[in-house]
Amino acid sequence: MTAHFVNLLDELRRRSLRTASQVEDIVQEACEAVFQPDETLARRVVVRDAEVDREEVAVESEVMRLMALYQPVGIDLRLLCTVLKVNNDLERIADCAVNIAERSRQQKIQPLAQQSSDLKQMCPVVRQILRNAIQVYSAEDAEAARRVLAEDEQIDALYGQIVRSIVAQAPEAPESMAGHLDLLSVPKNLERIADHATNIAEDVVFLSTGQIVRHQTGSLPE
Amino acid sequence: MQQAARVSDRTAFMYMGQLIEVDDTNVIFTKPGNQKTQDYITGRFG
Repeated sequence: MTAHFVNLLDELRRRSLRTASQVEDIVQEACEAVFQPDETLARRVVVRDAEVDREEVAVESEVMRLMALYQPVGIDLRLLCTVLKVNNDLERIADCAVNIAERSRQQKIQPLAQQSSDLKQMCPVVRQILRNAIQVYSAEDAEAARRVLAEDEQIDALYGQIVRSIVAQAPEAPESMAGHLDLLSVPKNLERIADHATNIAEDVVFLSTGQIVRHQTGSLPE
Repeated sequence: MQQAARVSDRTAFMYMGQLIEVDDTNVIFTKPGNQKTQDYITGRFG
C-alpha cells in the first residue's frame, strides 16, 4: 500500500507543478496585454483561468481523498497540506491575472502603461518572484524559499511609487484620471500576485522543515 | 502506531534496541527530527 500511496503523492505533486507552470504563463500573457492592445491575448487569459479553476477543485478533491484513505503523517501530511495551500494561491494568482487582462481591454490604458517606467519595471520583477517561488516549490528548498520571501519588499516599494506618481499627476491632468484609476488596478493585482508567490515560499519552508513562518516581522527563524 | 498517536502525550521511537527519537507526540507525527523516524511513521519500512 505504501508504494502505491507514494506514487499517488508523486503524481499529485507533479500535477500541482503543472498547474503552477500554467499559472506562470497566464501571468506573462496578462502582463503583455497591458502594454499591447491584443483582445485575443486578454481573452485567452480568461479561458485559461477557467482551466485553473477546474484543476483547483480536482486537486483539492484528490488531497481530501488521500488524507481520508491513507491518514498520512510526517512529511507526507505536510506535503498534502502544502499542495492544498499552494493550490489555493495558484488559483488566486490566476484570478489576479484575469483582473489585469480585463483592465487591459480598456482602450485608454495601453498609452498610460507605456508611459509608466515603474509599471514596466514591476511586471518582470513580479514574474521573476513567481518563477522563483515555483522553482523552490519544485525543489522543496527551504533556504531558497527564505530568500524569495525577502524579494516582496521591492514590489511593495514599486507599488507605492506608482500610487504616488498617479496622485502627483492628478491636479495637472484631471481629464486622464479615469484612465489612471483603471491603470492603478494593474499594479495592485501585480502586488497581490507577489504576495501569493511569497505565500508559496512560506509553504515550502513548512513542507521542508515543519516550521510555520507566516506573519513574521523582522528576521525569519532559522 | 495510530493508537500511540491517539493515547499518548509523548512518543519514543526505538529501533533494534536503540532509542532513535523521543518528543511530544504531535512533533513525532508531524515533523520528526530523525530520518529513520520519518521513514518508519510514513511506512517506508516496518
